[in-house]
Amino acid sequence: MASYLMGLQSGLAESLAASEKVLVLGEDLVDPYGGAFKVTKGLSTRFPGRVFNTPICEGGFTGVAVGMALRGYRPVVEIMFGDFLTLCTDQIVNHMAKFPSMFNGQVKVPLVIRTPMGGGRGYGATHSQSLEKMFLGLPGIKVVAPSHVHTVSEILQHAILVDDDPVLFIENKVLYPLDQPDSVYMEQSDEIPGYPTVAFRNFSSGKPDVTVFAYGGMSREIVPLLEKLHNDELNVTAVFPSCLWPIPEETLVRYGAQCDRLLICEEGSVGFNWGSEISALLYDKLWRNLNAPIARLAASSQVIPAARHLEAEVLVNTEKIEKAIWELMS
Amino acid sequence: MNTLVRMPSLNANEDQAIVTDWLVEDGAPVSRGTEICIVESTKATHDVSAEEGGFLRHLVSKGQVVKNNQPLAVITATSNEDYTAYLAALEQAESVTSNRRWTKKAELVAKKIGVDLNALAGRIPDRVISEADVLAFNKTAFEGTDLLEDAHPSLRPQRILLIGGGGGGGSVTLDAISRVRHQRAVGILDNNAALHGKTMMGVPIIGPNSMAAELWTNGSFDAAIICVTGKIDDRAAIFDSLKEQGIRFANVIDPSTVVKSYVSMGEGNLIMGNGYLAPSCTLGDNNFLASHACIEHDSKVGSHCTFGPRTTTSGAVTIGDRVKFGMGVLIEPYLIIGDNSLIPSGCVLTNNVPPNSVIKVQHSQTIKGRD
Repeated sequence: MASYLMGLQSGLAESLAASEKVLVLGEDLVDPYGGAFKVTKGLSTRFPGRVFNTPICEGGFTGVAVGMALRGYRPVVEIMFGDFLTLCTDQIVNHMAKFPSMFNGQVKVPLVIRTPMGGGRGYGATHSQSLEKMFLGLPGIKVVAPSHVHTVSEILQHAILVDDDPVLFIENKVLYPLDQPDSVYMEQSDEIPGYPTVAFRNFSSGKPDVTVFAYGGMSREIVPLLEKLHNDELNVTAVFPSCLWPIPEETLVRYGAQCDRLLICEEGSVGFNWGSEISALLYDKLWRNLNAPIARLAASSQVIPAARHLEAEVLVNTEKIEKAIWELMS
Repeated sequence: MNTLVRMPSLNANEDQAIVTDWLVEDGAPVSRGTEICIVESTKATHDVSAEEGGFLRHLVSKGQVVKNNQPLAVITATSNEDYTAYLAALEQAESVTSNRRWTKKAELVAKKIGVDLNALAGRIPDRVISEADVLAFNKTAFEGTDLLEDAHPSLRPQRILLIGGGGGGGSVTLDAISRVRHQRAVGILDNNAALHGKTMMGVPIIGPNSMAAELWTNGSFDAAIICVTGKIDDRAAIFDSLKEQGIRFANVIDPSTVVKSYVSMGEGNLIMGNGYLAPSCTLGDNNFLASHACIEHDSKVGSHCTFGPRTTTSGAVTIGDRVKFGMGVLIEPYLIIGDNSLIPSGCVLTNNVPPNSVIKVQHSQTIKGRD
């Protein structure tokens, strides 16, 4: 059994081994520290001269990586906390995303920016956010956020070695210690090559009572909940796309069409978020099918508190998801 | 009075710590604020103090790793006091006891169809009650009461009781109701005693038509619809009698029927599939329109009429009360059909029909064997 963290470690190591063009940059990545969350642990020892510690200057080293990508490298940047993406947003929005089309396809930017998002750890207002919604819908990039139901090693290798588009790779930090769960009732669809959508069911045959759409760290809450709901005779399908943008539309609509009660969950805050776009898509294609308005869960519109009990009130958790599911049923 | 000392949470990344030393011996007296032990996380050591005075009783030993919030010690009020009962009570309060008798799905279904889960649990003492148990119980013990406790009764589907619904009229009505979201059939009454206790399309046949008043008083349904289509006098008599008792009627309209703008109708109308109600037509109460009936624009239909399949009025036709149409009747524009008339199948009406008329149509039809 490999944890999510081990999957990321092996994805990076396999990529470095597979191509000389792969380089890794970020703060405190080099051994013995091996990164704040230990994702790069051992890499600088195993691949000398290809893993770089940078100054604390996200805009600077992201710009360096964009330049490397333009000149044929396949760099991987680690931003220590996703909250710090704000510091390199100019490089992402005005440079990384635009160069391929501004230069009429003559250049590529095969760059991966990895970063941990999410709360639940008591890290407070500036180390707990899920800011990926700021980048959803941005032309020219992919935003990928695998859950622990995905084989994260393969997805990371695809982003680094195969995908020529710039990729923002979101890792929810609560997933790091989790093993990929086993289920006989698991399906995978590959509408967007390399970035599968995984559907997890808690029943063997029949139709779902509720279908849940979620991504990233929400899998930590939802997967164990499915077991509990199974004991309460409730059939639930949980659909986890690993690619947030572009949207695997056909796949999401196909799963949505199997059910007349739909729930969308995400850890980021309410308002103009992933769920807004997904619910617009599902309403557009499926409104005749629905038995109830699509239910949505997200963090409340607040700065995330550091105290654990207050943080739990703000963020989405298992209890809130279960409550929303039974409300849909009644 | 006993006080529990628990392992504090020392930092956001760790859920446990080590007790590195006891500063007060087991059983020794402490005052409020006395430092009693040292605990250590990967980042720092921390002194734990007594919150109350008394006698300190160790629950863990030096060197032990303890999860956050787990007990480290008890402070008892008197020396050598027995605290085992206190700890046992605490443990019991904190343990999640699972003694549930039914699944949540079973609870949901029971609430919706009005099954008493406690009564059912009495009958099935040895296992968790499932949705299937509730549905099976409901079949044998339906009391005609829909006890849906709903915080928003205005949002729930209108609960329809079918009167005289044990036959073909009932099945087409149930089908029409099953196709809409705003109505739900909750029971059927029929005077044929042989049908009582059976179900049609999952809806129970509860008892004779006379039960309607009692069910209405109990709040078991929101509106009635009459499914009797053969005898108009019966249909009208049931309607008048139930109206007298204050029972409300629904209009049941199959969703494949097109209802155009400015159509108005009273209540108790039963309109089957593929019908067409043109703009500005008017229906009274308690009419039955079989499939493919067409009431053209500006036509007026009274009350208690029945229309066989594919009966069509043209524009601005006026129809009285208690008129019975066979199948495939065609009516020219502007005609007036009087009350209590009988119009047979296949008839093309080209003149006004006075009240209490019976139309006879001469069919010439011979059937011969083939050569």
